[in-house]
Amino acid sequence: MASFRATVENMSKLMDEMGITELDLERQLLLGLYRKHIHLSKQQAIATPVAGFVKQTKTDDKISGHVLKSPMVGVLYLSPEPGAKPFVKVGSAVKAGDTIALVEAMKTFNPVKSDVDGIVKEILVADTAAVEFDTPIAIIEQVPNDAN
Amino acid sequence: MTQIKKVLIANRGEIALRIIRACRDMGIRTVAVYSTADRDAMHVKLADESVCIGPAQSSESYLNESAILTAALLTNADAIHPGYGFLSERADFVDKVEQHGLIWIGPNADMIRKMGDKVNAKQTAIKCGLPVVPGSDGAIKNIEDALCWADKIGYPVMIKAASGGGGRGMRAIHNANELRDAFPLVRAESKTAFGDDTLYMEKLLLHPRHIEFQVLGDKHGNVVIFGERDCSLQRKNQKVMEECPAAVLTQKQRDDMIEICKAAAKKMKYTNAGTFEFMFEDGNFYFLEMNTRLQVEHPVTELVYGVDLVREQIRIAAGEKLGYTQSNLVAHGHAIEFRINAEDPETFVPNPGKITLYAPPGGLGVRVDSAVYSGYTISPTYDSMIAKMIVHAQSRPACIMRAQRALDEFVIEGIKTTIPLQKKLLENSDVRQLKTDNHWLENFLENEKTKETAQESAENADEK
Repeated sequence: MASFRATVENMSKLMDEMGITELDLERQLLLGLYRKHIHLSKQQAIATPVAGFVKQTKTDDKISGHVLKSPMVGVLYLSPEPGAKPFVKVGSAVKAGDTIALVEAMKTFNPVKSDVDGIVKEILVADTAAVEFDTPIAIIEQVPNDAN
Repeated sequence: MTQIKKVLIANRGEIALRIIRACRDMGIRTVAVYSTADRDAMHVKLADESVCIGPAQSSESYLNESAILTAALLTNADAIHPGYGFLSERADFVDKVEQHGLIWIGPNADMIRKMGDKVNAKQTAIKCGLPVVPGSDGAIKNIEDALCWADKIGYPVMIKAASGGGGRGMRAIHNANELRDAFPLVRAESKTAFGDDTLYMEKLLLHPRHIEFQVLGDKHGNVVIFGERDCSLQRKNQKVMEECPAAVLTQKQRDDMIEICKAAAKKMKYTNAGTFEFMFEDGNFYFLEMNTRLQVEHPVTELVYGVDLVREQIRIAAGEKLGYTQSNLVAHGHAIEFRINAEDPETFVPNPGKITLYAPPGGLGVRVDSAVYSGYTISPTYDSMIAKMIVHAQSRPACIMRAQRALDEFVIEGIKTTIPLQKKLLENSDVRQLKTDNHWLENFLENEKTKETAQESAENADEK
């Protein structure tokens, strides 16, 4: 049994090193009469769901400024194609109707357009993250329309 | 055989919970989808993962095929369970689910196409040997033709306009003289109302009961039929109370019908769960329609037969064999389901709002399937059914006693519910003695209303 314990301990250590969170260990003891089925599972350091859905990181009262939300569930892209310049950066001036990001759902790319004029204050979602309906994507500080 | 490790539940409310529970019992992970109106819903809290798929209105969320498929793919779900309602009987959606490499927990798209449409379903039913309402095979040419058909079918009959529907363009006929008078009239009416004077004839059932049989079929050609549910207490085609077994049937009637249904399900190569619905009158069954999905009232069958139908659905979808045959199915006792709606028990006006206290009944033989809790606010956007109470006992009288006890224990405060109506029904001698039919409840409610008005006017008269 001591050797079995050592195996589990070694495996556990190995998991930590390699960043593995789940491991199935099967071992037959006593000429196969007993079968130990051990499932090692470790809490992942970052509590992200399997597919990495972005859950709202800030509560609404902490957000000041206009929040642009995802119009659908899908994968969010901050640039028109991989490697290309992003649509906007923090500090970019945007007009209502400008594309801020794309959401891919069922192989179609849907633009997420700003509904206000303003300055991009914060981008809340990383490129290629999975977003839900209504996930906040960016905060846009509205600019008073004095010029007109 | 494929292994199902994660199921996305494309539904809400009590049925989403019912499916999550079955998955958990099987060690399967679950993904809930929800609309913005359901952020605080129980199915979201109980699932392993959840994805917001759209705004409150169903067309943009629970009926949003693309959002649901995207959620399934992004969460790496293996399978989708549709529950009942919403996308459960949309054959095109089933095709899409399978095209994306996901498993559909339900009958295949072809079966839904074949049996989901009423006209198709009747044709298939006839081919598979199910008894249907006798009628003229097609249009009636003239009055002689009509008289001939009526003799063959037997009075009373119903003449119907082929283009009619929704209760319009039909007339009940009780004898030959009536038919001679009515035939030209209905024909003229039909011409004016629908621009088509094609008429057909069907036998008129005066006091049918609704009796249905639960089907389970695996992908290897094995089929079993569970004994029947009696769902005759209905209001506006909505079932109010359902029981298993139907105590009005003799054992021979039951056994014969199980054989007929089994042969039909085998012939149509039915897979997964489904229900054959019939009208039952004077010892005869007439096919009504087939539901190609899990039904609201499935728990009464579960309690009487000791089976988890959702678990069976998942096993079948994964390609497993049933593993039992008809002779292994043994009925134990009697079960009744009571639908509790957030409605005024007299006017049936929906009564959404905040539930200030929710205390469901318990004890032996009492099961409550519900997704509400104290402090939960019922949204006006969705169905008004908020709970199903299912009671099981060794006999029908014992079941009624237990149901009365359980309904007395059931506390839902803050909103109006149909619990008082259910209590009233259990006290009624017609319900207790099964002297009911599909029209009984509506007549009963009509009488109650008249009684009340009479009482009120009497009281007013007294005051004067």
